[in-house]
Amino acid sequence: MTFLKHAALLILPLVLLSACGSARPPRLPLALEQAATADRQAKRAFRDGDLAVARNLFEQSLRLQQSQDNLPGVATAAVNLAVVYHGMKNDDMAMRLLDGILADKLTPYPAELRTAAAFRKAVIMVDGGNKEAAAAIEAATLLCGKSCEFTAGIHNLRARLALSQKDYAAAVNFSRDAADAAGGNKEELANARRYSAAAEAALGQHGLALEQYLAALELDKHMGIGPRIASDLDGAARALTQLGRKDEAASYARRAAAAHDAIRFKPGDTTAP
Amino acid sequence: MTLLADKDERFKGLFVKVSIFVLLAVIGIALNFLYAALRQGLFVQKTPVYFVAPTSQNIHEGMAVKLSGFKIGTVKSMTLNEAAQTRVELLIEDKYMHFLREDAEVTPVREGVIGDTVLAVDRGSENKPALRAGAEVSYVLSGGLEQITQDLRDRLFPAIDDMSKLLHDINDPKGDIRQTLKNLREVTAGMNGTRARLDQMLEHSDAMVANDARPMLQSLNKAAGKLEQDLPNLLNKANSTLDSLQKSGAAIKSAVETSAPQFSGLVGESRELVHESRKTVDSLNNNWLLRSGVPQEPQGLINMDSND
Repeated sequence: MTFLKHAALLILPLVLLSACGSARPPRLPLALEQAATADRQAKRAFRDGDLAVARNLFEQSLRLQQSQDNLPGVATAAVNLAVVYHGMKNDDMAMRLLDGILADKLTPYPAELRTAAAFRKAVIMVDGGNKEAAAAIEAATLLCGKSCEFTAGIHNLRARLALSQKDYAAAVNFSRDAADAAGGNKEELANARRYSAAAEAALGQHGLALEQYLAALELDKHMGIGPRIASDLDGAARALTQLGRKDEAASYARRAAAAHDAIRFKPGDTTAP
Repeated sequence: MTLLADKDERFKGLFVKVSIFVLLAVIGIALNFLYAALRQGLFVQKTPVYFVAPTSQNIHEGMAVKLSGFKIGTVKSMTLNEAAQTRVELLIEDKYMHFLREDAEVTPVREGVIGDTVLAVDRGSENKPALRAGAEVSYVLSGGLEQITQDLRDRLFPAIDDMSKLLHDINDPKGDIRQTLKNLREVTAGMNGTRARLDQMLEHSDAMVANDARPMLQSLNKAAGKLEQDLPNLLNKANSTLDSLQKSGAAIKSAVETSAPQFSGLVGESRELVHESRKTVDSLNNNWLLRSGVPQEPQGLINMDSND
């Protein structure tokens, strides 16, 4: 019996060690593995700002997914590719990709990916000041239903559209809805604060605007999104100027200028920001 | 009566048990060493041979000696001889010695693009006697990328020189080719004159046959004679020109044919190397020890919001 105990004590660490060295995950078909690899590399390139490489890799991923008739993979790659094309200012190509999913009612693409495509289309249209942006937002709302991953984003798009149409009261309301729906989505919460701040400032509520800009600034700093930090600092400087706090305004303006310069700075530039 | 009488049954025979345990561990370690030594060929009988290399570059002690890709020995030592060259002592396993002949050659080659350099042995001619212990083998430099480039350079440069000489000859107003063309032009001009005179003769044949036919025929004879004289020269020169061109072309072709497979091999090896590296990195990423340290890329859609 003692021998058995000792043997068990010796074997146990070996069993635990072997448990640590878990087996490799099961392998997918080769084309899908290649597509997943291309997808990973494309995201990395997109994150690093290398849009041309990201486009090529997402196109490769899309072709591989199509070769396997993997509909979720096809829709995902198409939406991602549309995002990249939008980043490259080629909205025609982006819209063609998104319409390829949205207009094809017969192919059973997953509903959440159709919604993602509709939301992305609405973002592109709002960005481009398209007249049919409102219709695109409504289409996304229909696909989203009562609540979905993009609810806060859709409210924010409405707020952006209202801001561009100088309907500031509506913009405040929509951004409030967005903030309520954002939950843990900090990006959309920060966007809601920023749109709300812009609308409040336009309505002459500079104290409220400053409050919202500072809230947005805190969130954007937490996420480390440079251009938005610069925009928040700019907004705060403007609000402070309106409130007559000139010194503070100048300080925020300096910080905003530094942030703008730093964003423009590229590695290899001879002039330091 | 013992001072420290141990009443606990579990401690009975403890010394013996511990001794057995330690002994087993020592035996295990010794067996490991023995196994490693056997794997390293420590107990294998070896025969010394040597070669002399101009430099010890790319050669080091312990370097593998391979025959047809199989390790048959190692570099034992290197010394500088009286001629300031490197004398390299090799130890070849006895069981492989019968493969090697007196005219065996040793060449340093790289295994793959970034692989180790090893000494590859060419076994020599079948009709030669077997290599004896302590004998010298020839050392031949070859293989590396520099060598291939040098080889290609050595072959291409004379061919390019030939081509430039040929072009120079063609452009030289006093050169054979220009002179030949000049002669040809003169002959052609002579033929034209002859033809004009023949035409004239035909026109006035009735009246002038008796007076003019003779000089014209003489002129025709002359021209034909000149043509007969010049044409073989011209053909010879044209032939020699073509020969030179052909030789240059053959030299270039041979150089490219010799080097192309090596370059294509290099490209293939590089591609394979990249592929293998990717596989290795993937494997490392999947390893339990490193997996936690490698950030996993999220699958699915790019994380974008309403402001992107």
